[in-house]
This record gives sequence, structure tokens and C-alpha cells, in this order.
Amino acid sequence: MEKVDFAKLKLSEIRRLGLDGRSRMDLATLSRRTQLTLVLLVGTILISSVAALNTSNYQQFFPALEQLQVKVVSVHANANSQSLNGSVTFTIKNPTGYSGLIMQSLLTNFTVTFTNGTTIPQGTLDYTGVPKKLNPTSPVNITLLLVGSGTGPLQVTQLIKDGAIPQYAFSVNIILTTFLDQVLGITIPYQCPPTRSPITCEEVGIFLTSHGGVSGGGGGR
Amino acid sequence: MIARQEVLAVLLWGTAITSLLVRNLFQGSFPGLLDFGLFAAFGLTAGAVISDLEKTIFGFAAGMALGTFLAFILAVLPALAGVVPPPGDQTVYTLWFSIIFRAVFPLPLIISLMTGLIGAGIGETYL
Repeated sequence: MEKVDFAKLKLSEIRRLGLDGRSRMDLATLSRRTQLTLVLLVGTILISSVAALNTSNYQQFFPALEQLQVKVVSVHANANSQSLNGSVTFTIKNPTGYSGLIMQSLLTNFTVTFTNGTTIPQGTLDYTGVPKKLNPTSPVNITLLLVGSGTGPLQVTQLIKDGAIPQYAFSVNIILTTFLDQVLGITIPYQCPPTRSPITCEEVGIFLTSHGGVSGGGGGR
Repeated sequence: MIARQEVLAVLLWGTAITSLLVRNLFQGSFPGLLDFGLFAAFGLTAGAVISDLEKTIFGFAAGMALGTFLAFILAVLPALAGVVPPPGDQTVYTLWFSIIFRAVFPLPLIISLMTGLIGAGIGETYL
């Protein structure tokens, strides 16, 4: 094999060795089979580039489910005998880079607990409005009215009159729409401890529901 | 004797099948009309490069096996890497096995085989 000292090359030698750029690979001189191989290579690279983006996003899907955060950012009530007459605001945040999660609905069970240990169930609060996209690092706020059910508001009003301090505890189920929706439904339950001030809710697990004949299961922490 | 170009064609064919599968499945859809066209295009090209009917059948089997295996590995990577801990990981394996089977069988499989053979026929005749 010929060794080349590039520092000592003369112009004629550069041309002889084909290093001057004039002897570029000419595709037309390649065999048709090699040309087709190149077409296959380029096609595979192109489609793989698109697939790589989707794969990279997918790899953050399960971390997004595990790390989805629900916070009670504000809760207040001015109870009377008919209604708790208040509201609660939840913030749902996707702290990962995954894009593709949509909150279909938010179902909440809540109770009012008092410092003396009394717990009064207040029924459900549901958000079933427009589905909300849970985009990376852009939190979604959901405000729900606290009404109460049955004799709950009346009991709460009486206890408050007696000097007891109410706290509000929520069990939240977030129902998600994901790319797996054709085969799998995903619900993430959270427990929000009794509070009167902002608090972070704890994810209890991830529940999977089978759709369309594919067997599913349950997962938890 | 298997030429390097034939091995390369099978590897590229398999990679293309993986890419076509994950491009759709990770977005929540099964392969559609456009994808069937792409499966056909890759099958034709790979078959033409191989240019031998018998080798193309083996190449198709190897490419399809490689493609679906790679797609499955990419799909269950979170379970393999421990991001999804047991027992949830078993659900991920079962789920993706079913999804990939449904995505590949029957149309993409048949399209790839048929176009691969047609490509090999064209290759044998004209290349």
C-alpha cells in the first residue's frame, strides 16, 4: 500500500492520487444493486430518524405516569346548612418531558375531618369537562365547587359553630387518555391528606383497565 | 454463499420494519395505508438487492424477526430497565407482545413477503 506524506505532496501528485476533489464518487458508475442498497440505506435512515423521536418520547411515558403530581393549591368553604359553599383547586403537573398525556376526567371523593376525630363524608366532586393536555412542565388547574351531600353540610356547620376546625381530605382518581387508549385505560389514584392549606397528594398506584381484548393488569408502588 | 450486500439488505430491512412499527405504535395507532406502502417499498428494494428468491424468503424471515424483536425490545425497555417494577413489568411484556402481534399480522407480514419476492424477481431479471 502506498504511504502518503501530505506535507510533501506536489500538485501533480495530489491530482494523481485523486485528493483534489475532482474525483468524487460518481453514483452513476456504481452497480444498480449497490445503488439500490444505498436507496435502502437512505430510506432506513430517514424512517429511523422519525421513529427515534417517537421512541425517545415513549421512553418517558412510564416515568410520566409515576411522577404525575397532584396538589391541592387552595381549599376554602363557608358552610351553611344547605351547602359547604366553597371550592377546591387542584394542580396537575407532568414533571417529565413526555408529551401525549391527556386528563380525561378527575373524580374525587372527599370528607371533612375535625380535630376532635369526627369525619363526615361529603360525596363526590367530578371534573368531566373538556379533556386537558398534561404537557411537560405546564401545570393544569382544576377548580371544583365544594357543595357536600346529604346532611353533611349541616353537620359541618354545627361542628364549626361548636368551635371545631374543619379540614378537607380528598381521594382523587385521574383518568387518563394515552396512546395506549385502544387497548388500555389508565387511572391514577391519589390520596390528599386532611388539609386547610396547599398540600401535595400522594400517588397510590396505577390502575390499568383492559380495552379491546388485550389483557391488562394492575400496578402499584 | 451469502454476500455482504445481502446481509446488509436484511439488516436494513429489519431496521426499517422496526422503525415503521414503533413510529406508529408509540403514537397509539396501528400501521395504516401509508405504512403498508412503506412496507411494500422496503420489501421491494430489499428483495431487489438480494436478487434471489430463495435467499429473499430467508432474508424476509430474518428481517421480520429482527424487526419485530427490536420493536418489542424498544417497547419493553422501561420494564427491562426497571423503570416499571414488578409486577407491572409483566403487564408491559404481555401488552406489547399482543400489540406488536396485532400490528404485524397479517397485512404487514404478507405485504413484506410478497413485495420482497417481487423485488427478488425483478432483481434476478434486471439487475
